Amino acid sequence: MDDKEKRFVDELLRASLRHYASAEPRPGLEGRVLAGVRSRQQAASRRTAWAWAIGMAATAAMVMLFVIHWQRQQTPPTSVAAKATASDSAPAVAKIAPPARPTVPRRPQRSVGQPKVDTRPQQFPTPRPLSEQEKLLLVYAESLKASPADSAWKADQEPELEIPALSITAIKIEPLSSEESADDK
Amino acid sequence: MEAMGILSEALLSADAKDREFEAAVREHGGHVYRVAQAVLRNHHDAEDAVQETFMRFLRQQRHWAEIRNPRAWLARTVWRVALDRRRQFVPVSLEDAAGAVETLRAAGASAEQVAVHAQTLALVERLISSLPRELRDPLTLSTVEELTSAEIGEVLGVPEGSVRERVSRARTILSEKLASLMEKSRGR
Repeated sequence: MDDKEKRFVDELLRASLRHYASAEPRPGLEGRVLAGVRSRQQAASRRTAWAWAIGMAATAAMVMLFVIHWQRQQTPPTSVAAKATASDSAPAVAKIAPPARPTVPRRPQRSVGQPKVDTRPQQFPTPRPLSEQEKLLLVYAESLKASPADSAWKADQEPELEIPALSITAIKIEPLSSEESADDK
Repeated sequence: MEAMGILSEALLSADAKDREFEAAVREHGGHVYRVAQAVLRNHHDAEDAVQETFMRFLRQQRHWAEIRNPRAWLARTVWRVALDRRRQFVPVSLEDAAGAVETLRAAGASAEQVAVHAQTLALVERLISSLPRELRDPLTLSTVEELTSAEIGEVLGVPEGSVRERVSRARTILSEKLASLMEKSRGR
């Protein structure tokens, strides 16, 4: 490559690099940047405001729940009878007021130290008194029971069997002859 | 009364900060744009990078007093923003681009005339992107005229002398590659 060529390449490179980053922004860049930054700022502040509002609402709800819970724990349980007497003794104006919600009687709380008492019956199933029909049946059965007169009558009806004394004669066996024994062989 | 005084002082301070920010955008907007453009090579991406940079600058308003050189601070920030957004360049055939440059030269165009041609810019862009990063970054920043070697060093976190040396090496490599390409296209 001759000097002329080399010089041209150098000039070309210098000029190209000069143009490389010489691009000017479109008119109004500053205005666009400022407007964009401000809108992003406003969006960010809106997000912050929302976060604060949600946080405050959640805190308020938690405080209210706590207060309600605390008040419930503080007020003693009132019975229906006590309310009734209170309403009797209250002036007439108070009676006009809507009736208070009846309180549900609380379950008796089981004390921890009290020993348990076994209330189960000894026999199962539990014996019950006889019903009217059962009683009548029992009376009838009693009436059927054999009386002493009946048993005598029964004895008359069945005569005793007479069994004669048994006598057994001795068995006589004759001795075998010699011919008979040979035949057998 | 005291509360009112504090409030009005705060409002005045906020107003002053607003004006200061506006002045910074007007003064350094173009410079920040050129750095973004040198990296991104795209007008829309460059404007987005400028906006993001000034947003970051605004978030730092409590520390404005500590920023000694706002121009260098903005250049460093926009450099990082742009690098995060950088995309792959559209691939250009080096031989075709060099052929177009040679044709222009044969037609009698001067180096300056050839340089502004789109094919030449695409060729230079492709050659720069093929450089190793330690040479490419100082060379890219050196194309932004307002940036001095010291400022480039501040942006990249390297000494000023190293910046000069790297830019020089990068230019030599580019020159050699360009000459070789043009010679090849002349021989075809």
